[in-house]
Order: sequence, then structure tokens, then C-alpha cells
Amino acid sequence: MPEIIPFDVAVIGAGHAGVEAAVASARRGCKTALFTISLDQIGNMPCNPSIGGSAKGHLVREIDALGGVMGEAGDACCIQMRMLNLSKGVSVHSPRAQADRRKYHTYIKQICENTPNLQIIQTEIADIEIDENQSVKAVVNRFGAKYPCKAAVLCTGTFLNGMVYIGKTGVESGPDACLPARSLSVKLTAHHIALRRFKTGTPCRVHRRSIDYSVLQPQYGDPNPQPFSYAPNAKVFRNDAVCYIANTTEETHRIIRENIQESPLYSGMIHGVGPRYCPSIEDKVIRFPSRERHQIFVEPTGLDTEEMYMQGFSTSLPEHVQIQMYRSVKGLEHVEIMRSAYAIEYDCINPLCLSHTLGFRGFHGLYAAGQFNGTSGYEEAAAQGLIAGINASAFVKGEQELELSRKSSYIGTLIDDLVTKGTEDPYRMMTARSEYRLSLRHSNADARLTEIGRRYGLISDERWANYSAKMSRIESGIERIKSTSVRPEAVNAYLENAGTTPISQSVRLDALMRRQQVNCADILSALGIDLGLQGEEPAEVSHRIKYEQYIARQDQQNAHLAHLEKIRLPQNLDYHAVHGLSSEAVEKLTKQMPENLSQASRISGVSPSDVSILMTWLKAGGYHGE
Amino acid sequence: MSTIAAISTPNAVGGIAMIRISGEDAIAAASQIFTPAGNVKVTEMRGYTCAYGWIADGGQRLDDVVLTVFRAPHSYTGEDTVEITCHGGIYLSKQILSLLLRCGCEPAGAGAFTKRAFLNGKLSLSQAEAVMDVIRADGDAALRQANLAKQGKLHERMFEISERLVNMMSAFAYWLDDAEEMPPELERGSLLQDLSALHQQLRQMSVDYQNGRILREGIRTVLLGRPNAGKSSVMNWLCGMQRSIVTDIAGTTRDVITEQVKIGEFTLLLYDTAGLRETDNAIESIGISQAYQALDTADFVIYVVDAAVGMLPEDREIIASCKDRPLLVLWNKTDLTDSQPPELNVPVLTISALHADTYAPLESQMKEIFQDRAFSNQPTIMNERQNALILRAAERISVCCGLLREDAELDMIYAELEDAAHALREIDGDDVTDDVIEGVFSKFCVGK
Repeated sequence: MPEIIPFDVAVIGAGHAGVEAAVASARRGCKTALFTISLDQIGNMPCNPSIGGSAKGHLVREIDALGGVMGEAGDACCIQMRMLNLSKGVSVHSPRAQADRRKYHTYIKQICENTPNLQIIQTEIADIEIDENQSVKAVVNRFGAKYPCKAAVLCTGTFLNGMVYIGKTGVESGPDACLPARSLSVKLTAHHIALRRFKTGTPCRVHRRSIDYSVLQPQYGDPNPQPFSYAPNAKVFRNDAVCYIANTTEETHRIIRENIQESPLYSGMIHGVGPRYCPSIEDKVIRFPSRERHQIFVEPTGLDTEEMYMQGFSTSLPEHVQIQMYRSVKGLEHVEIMRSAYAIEYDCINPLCLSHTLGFRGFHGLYAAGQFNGTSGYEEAAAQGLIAGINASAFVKGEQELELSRKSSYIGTLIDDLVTKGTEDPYRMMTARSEYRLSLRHSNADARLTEIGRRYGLISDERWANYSAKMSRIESGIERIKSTSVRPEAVNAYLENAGTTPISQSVRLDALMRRQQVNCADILSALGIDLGLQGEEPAEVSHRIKYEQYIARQDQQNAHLAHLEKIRLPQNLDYHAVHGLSSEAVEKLTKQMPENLSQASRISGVSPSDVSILMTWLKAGGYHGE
Repeated sequence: MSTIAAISTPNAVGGIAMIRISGEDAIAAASQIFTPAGNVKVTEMRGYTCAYGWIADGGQRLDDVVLTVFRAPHSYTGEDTVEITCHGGIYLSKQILSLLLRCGCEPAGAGAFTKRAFLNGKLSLSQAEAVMDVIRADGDAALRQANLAKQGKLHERMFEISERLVNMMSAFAYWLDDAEEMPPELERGSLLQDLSALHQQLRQMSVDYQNGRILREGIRTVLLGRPNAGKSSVMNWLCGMQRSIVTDIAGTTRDVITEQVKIGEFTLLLYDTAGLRETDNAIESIGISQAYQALDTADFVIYVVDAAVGMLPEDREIIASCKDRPLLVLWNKTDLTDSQPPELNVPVLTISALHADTYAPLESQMKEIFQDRAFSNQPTIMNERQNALILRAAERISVCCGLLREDAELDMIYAELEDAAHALREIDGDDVTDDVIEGVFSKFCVGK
């Protein structure tokens, strides 16, 4: 056997997490291997054919700002782009792309193939070799071949001991009829990594021609589609696909209730915990008995296929029930099911065993990302993959690892939630999870994260120059607005037209812009002011001005968190010696060893009075370094 | 935490005094200075037991004492605690304390014992504050209210209110996030209704507090009237008859009050109106602007009218300007005239302050005026810190209602709700910064 040149970083699994991890690591100069059970499933979308969505769109733009691939691929494979939540305030606006599923796979695979330093290998990894110092030495495949490496990133998604259920029949399988990974779990357990079972599910794919669209409500793409990527030449591939909205009926619900015992979830066959925020249709019907109907989104899965995805209609009831309930929906009376809906149960970890770098505590060079960490969703997975890839390569290169703060991003919030609070069901990102919601807009992800991406070598010179110019245009625009005073005669006609009170003396332009009824672009053009802004920039200037006071107050509210963040907790602290802590707090704190009081305060089971006690105790010099 | 000790009884000569020690080494420290009379080892005493013996300084026996042991966590502070009850001399109790300090105890700061009780999870912040109010309460009603808070009823009520807000917020947040599942339009109307109800409830709590404060701290009373109406004799009548209990509490930073008098069950804090009396020579001298200033914080206005002169338009004007405050007209100098007060829509008391020898008529008038303001049996907030937070929350919610009506961006509205929730959580010491905690506990008297 020829000698194998060791890899720096081995990434196990080539889903959305694994791809980001591998590409980031390789682009940062590390010799990287990306292992997948099937080369034909790299960047696969086994569930919804879409990228982005509420809060997830924020994640995609953050990934792009840091130099990840999902934004670019999402734009390149987009067949319909919509901005969601337009009526609810800019901080919750979120882009969502309908994606061509096969094209997305091909596009991602090509990115990987064309990335220098990155080698894609089809094989099932069955073991990770870890030496007596808890350092990663190699990964080993099912047939015993060994791939030496310095760091490994686990991105196994739903493959680990995957079990697919339809009705009461469970078969060993990965998603989309892939082979499951059956050997690695045992080895991880042997390394004292505790595993648990989560489950998720997917709806049917049906034939395009079998639907009566005349009774469904169509949904079109936005007239001016906004791409995910901040790249200078970013644009969406296409925007002409149409989605449709259907509704379940009383009859659908009756069929579900009558057959509920056929569900592996309700009959007790599946023990894994399912996602609260993306429930199966039987969950919805049982949990919200008073709802007369639930929305179903009928979405194309690509341009070169007749398969339509039925979002909101996932189930694990048996196939004869599936066809009945689908056909009870108006417009689907004659529907042909091409792929049945199923539930999938898989092994994953409790992310409390990770640190903020996504490295395992107590190991050197072992990282994890994606559904394996207990999350749900492509975007959540990709976000973690990117951070884990950056950090695995930083570990190999001996660089400082990246920990994003909650204030910086949804990615930072996601990781902090996972590693301090843990999760009891597949974690889905929501804007409500951030106490900094107003400042974490999708549109300013570049302002928040590009510099970090640049520092880690993931932002090209061209993009950096472009970003710097954009920021300076925005900042000088705002400066000009704030230093402009407007006389009544110059603006009153506009103000009255906009339905707001005219002014009687000169007023600073930004004060006028803060008025609810005033549109920033309109008032600027009424005043004949040209700030020389391009693309998204006028909107960005407007948001910054309109939200300034709200964000200032939000920061003030969070000031004590920032204060707690500065109070470091010794990593060898004996919490049993701190009088007055609840026993639950002692147990959780000892297990998780938070780095500062802010993290401690977010651990479930640690109450505000526990935090006060710790604070007082530290202040009183209770810690003597013992 | 260190072991702390302090004299817990007032710094005055009395029958007995009590020294309290709390902390890990409380029992060991006590055992060093205490010699039991019987065959007892202090370090082996169980909780809730007493021992008789004496305190000795070297060979010198200082006093016979009773020593009580409380074992953690079954003590006030939640720590090992010893209470030494000695004879009540100031010098003696100080001697005992200094012995303890020599044994390694640290002097307890103001409120230190209660602070530890809070930190050890024995009390919530509102309960801890209530302890302070129980100590301070003079009068049944105030005590009842303070005890309600101490029992955690305030904590429960606050929890209930902030739960309501948080429930509303989570529904709102869910709707903000969910682009697909929820009905397309948020019911702005019903949200507005819920928020207005919550706003009303918070305002009511603040009103209850204001009323509660009247009974707890006394009624801030302003004496007004035109020159020669007899304000001085009214003042003398109010103060003179009970010179012995008049206290000079100028130096209280919050208000400028010179006299505190008892009228039956009511305590009146009389504002210093001396300045008004000295310039008694022109109509302006009623000092409307100054009076308004005093009025800002007044709970009660006594308006004195000279019965011989009668009611002038200026009087009516001033009375009308006090409309939202309880006001009593004193129809004074009835010894000089038979004139009857005119029909007024405020209560009137006819009196000759110069010759009056009872407060009974005044007291019964005040009972009527303040009957609606008696303490509710609902637990309410107890101090300015809590009141300020309630008002901040109410203000944020009202801004929120305004934004809802204006069709403002929903993420802005949510930010207002978050701020309101922060304020409410702070009341009970959730989300408290250490500054807030320090602020609360620094108001304690030493020994509690």
C-alpha cells in the first residue's frame, strides 16, 4: 500500500455543513479531505428545494459575508426569489429562494471539485483514531483504509444509524434512499461522546401534471429579486418559477385522526424528538385541534423535473393514508405521488459538549457541525459548517479560533444557544432567538461580518475593495444627512403630500427621515440631494437612520449582558465551594464550565440569583485559584 | 463568603440586645468567646437550640448570655447563624461584637444579612425589600402590606403580570418569524386591546403604590390660603396641641417637610409653608408658582379661608386649579362671624383654629376623603425603585399602543415590548445588575 500523505483536515459528510467546512478549510490553505457516502449526493436537498426563509435568509447572507458558498450557490440555482415578512419591519425581512435541487447539487459539487487543496472521496467513514492525548490522528473507512489527519469535522447529518419510517415499518436508510452510516456511532460512543436520537420528516413529491392549479393560489417571485450574495456581480439565476398555496380540509384532518395509530410517532416506535417548528401534519392536527385548515405550499423542485414538493405536508403515516389525505385537499383530488413522505430518525449529540468554536471539549482537533449537533435546516447546518471549517483549519495552522458573539450575528447566536443552552428538539433559527434583532438585519450582514471573513482569508481582494467602497459611501451619506438642515419651504410640500405635519422652522434632515410616513429616497429626491449611493445602499442608509434610536435602546437593554460578558469565570472553578448556588446550577456549571458570567446566565437551570451569587462571590474574592 | 457579625438591636440602651453572626465560621467564632454553663459544646449544638452561658474577654466575664444556633440552610440567611442575646447595654454589646471581630468575623454592612438571604435564594428581591418595609412600617395597614410583599405575594403578582406580557410577546414573536404558518395579518386590534388592559393594570399598581405610600409614609400636605386666612393659627393648632410628637425631619432629602403630625390614624407631613406666610401682603404672595411647586408632590391640600372675609374669586381659582388632588376647605375663624360657607363641590370644615381643642372633626373629614385610598389587600409595589420600573413599563406599553395605531413597523413595536418586559423583570431582581442589588441593599439598617 502506497504511503498516504496525511490531510490537515478531514470532513465527514458532504451535506450543507460538510461542504462549507471543507471549502473554508481548503481555501484557507489546509489540505482537506471531504468524505461522502455518495458523490451523487453532495450538497443534496433531501427535504425542501429552497434556500433561506424567515431568519434562515439572514443566516445565508451572513454565511456569504464571511466567505461561505451557500449564498453564491443559492443565487446560481435560484428559480424564484422572494423577500419574506415585508410587512413586518426590516429586521425580519428575509430572502428565500426556490432552488433547482439537482442544479444545486451539481453546482456545489463543482465548487468542491474546483477548489484547490480539497479532495472529495466517496467512502463511508467508520472510525476516528484518537490518541491518548485526545488528539485526532486519522479517520478510518468501512474497509479499514486509514486517512491520517490533524483535525476532523463531523457533519453526518441524518445519516448516523439512520432509520426511515413510513407507517409502522422502519428500514435502515439515510435520506433520499442513501445508505446510512452504521459503524461510526459505536466508535464515537467508545470515545465517550454521548449520542441521542432526533427525528425529522419530509413530505411527498408529486407529479406536476396531477394538480389542478386553477383552484390554488399562485405565488410569484419578487419583481426585483435581491440576491443572497454580496459579491459585486451577484444576481439570481432565474425568477420565473411559480409556487402555489393549497389548504388542508376537515376531511384531511379526519383521515389523520382516524389513522393516527398508524403513525410510528404516535404508536411509540420512534423515540427521537422531532422539530417543534417544522412539525409533521399529524402533529399540527393533534396539537392545534381548533385550526380548520393548514397551509400547504406546492413548490417546483427544479426546471428539469416534474416533481413538486409539498411544503407543510410532511407525515410518517402509511402510504395508503398518505394518498387519501393528499387527495382530500382541494386541487389535489387526482394527485400522483412520486416519492412518499417519511420520517427519519438519526443519531446526534447534545451540543453542550461543544465549545463556542464548535470543537469538542476535552479533545484536540475534533469539531462538529450541522444536524449532528441537533439543529434542523440547511442554513443552520451550513452556518455551523463554515465556523467549524474555519476553526479546524485554524487549529491545524495554530491560529486563534473564531468565536462569533451573539451581538455580531445570528450565526453567533445559533452557536451560543447550542453550546450554552443545548437543545431538546432539532434547533431552528428564528429572529426571536436574538436579543439584538433590530441590529441583525439580513441587509447589513456584510457590515457585520466581512472584516472577520477577510481576517480568516475568505474574502477576495476584489470583494474587499468593493465592500470598503460601499461602507464609505454609506457612512458619508449618513454623515451628510445628519449635517443637513432643511428649511420649511424646501420640504413642506413633500411632507404634506406624505401625510405628515409640515415644519415651521429648519429641522435636521435625519429627524424628518425618522418620521413614520417619510420615505428616505423620496425626501432626498424632493430636496434634490444625491448621495451617490448604489444598489442596496439607499435602503441601508434609510434603515440605519430610522432604527437608530431603537437600536440604541436595545443596546442599552443588553448592556448588562455585555457587562457580564467581561466577567471571566476561572476554568477550574469548584462550583461546589460557592455557597448558595442551587444544586442544579452547581451541576450544570460544573459540566459546562462557562467562560464568562454572560454564558453562565444563559445556561438553563442557572437562575438570575445564581448569577448574582457568582458575581458577588467573584467580587468578594471568593476565588483564590484553588 | 466571609463570616459577618453585627448588633441587630437598635443602638440604644434597652432590656436586652442581640448580636447576630452569619457565615461558615459563625459557630466556631461564637464557641471561642462563649463559655457554656452546662455540659454543652457549641460546635456540636443542633439547629434551633439554645445554650445558657457567659461571654468572657480573657479571664474577665463580660455578661451572662443566651446563645441560639441555626444550622444552614435553616436560618434567615441560609448560612450557619448564631444569635447571642445579652443584657442591653451599648458598651456591653459593642464589647461582644469587638471580641467576635477579633475572632475573624467581619462587621456586617447595612442590610448584609438580608442580602445574604437573597443571595442564598431564601428571599426574592421584592421580599428582601419588604423586610426593610416591615422594619420601617408604622401602622397596621403598612405592616399588612409589607407582610404581603414579604410573603412573596408581590412576587406572585409581578410574575403573573410579566407572564401575561411575555405570553403576548411570544405570540407576537412567533408571528414575526413565521412567514408561512400564521394567518396573513396580525390582529392589530386585539393586540392593542390586550396591551391597553395591561397598561391599565400597571397604572393601577402605581396608583395603589401612591395610595399605599400615603398610609405608610404619611400624607404630604400643603397648607394654602390668602393672607390672614389664618394659616399660622391652623399650623399652630395642628402642631401645637401635640408638641411632644412633632419631629423635625428636615434633612430628609426627598421633600422639604418641617412638621410631622398625627391626626388619628393619619400621619400628615406638613410642607414648609413658612415662606408663604412671610410675604403675606399681596395677592401674588399666595405664591401661586411656589405653591404649584409644592403641589406637584402633595397628596392633600388644606385650603384655609377666613370666614369673615368669605370666598373670593381668587380662592375659587386656586381651589379649581387643585382639582385632581384631595382638598379640604377650612372655613376658619368661625368664632368671629356667623357666616356660612358657600356651596362648594369640595368638603368643607368649619372651625376656629385658634380655639379648637380636638382633631375629631378633621379626622372624620379625612376618613371620608381618604376612604377610597385605604390599602387594597392586593399586594402592591412598595418603593420608588419598583414604582419607577412599573411606570417605565407602562410608558413603553403606551408607546407601543401608539405605534400600533400608527401602523409602525412591527419589529420596532416588539422592541418596545421587550423594554417593558425588561423593566418588569427587574422589579423582582430578575435581570438585575449588581448596581441594582447594591442599591437595594444599601438602604438596609445594619443588623438585618
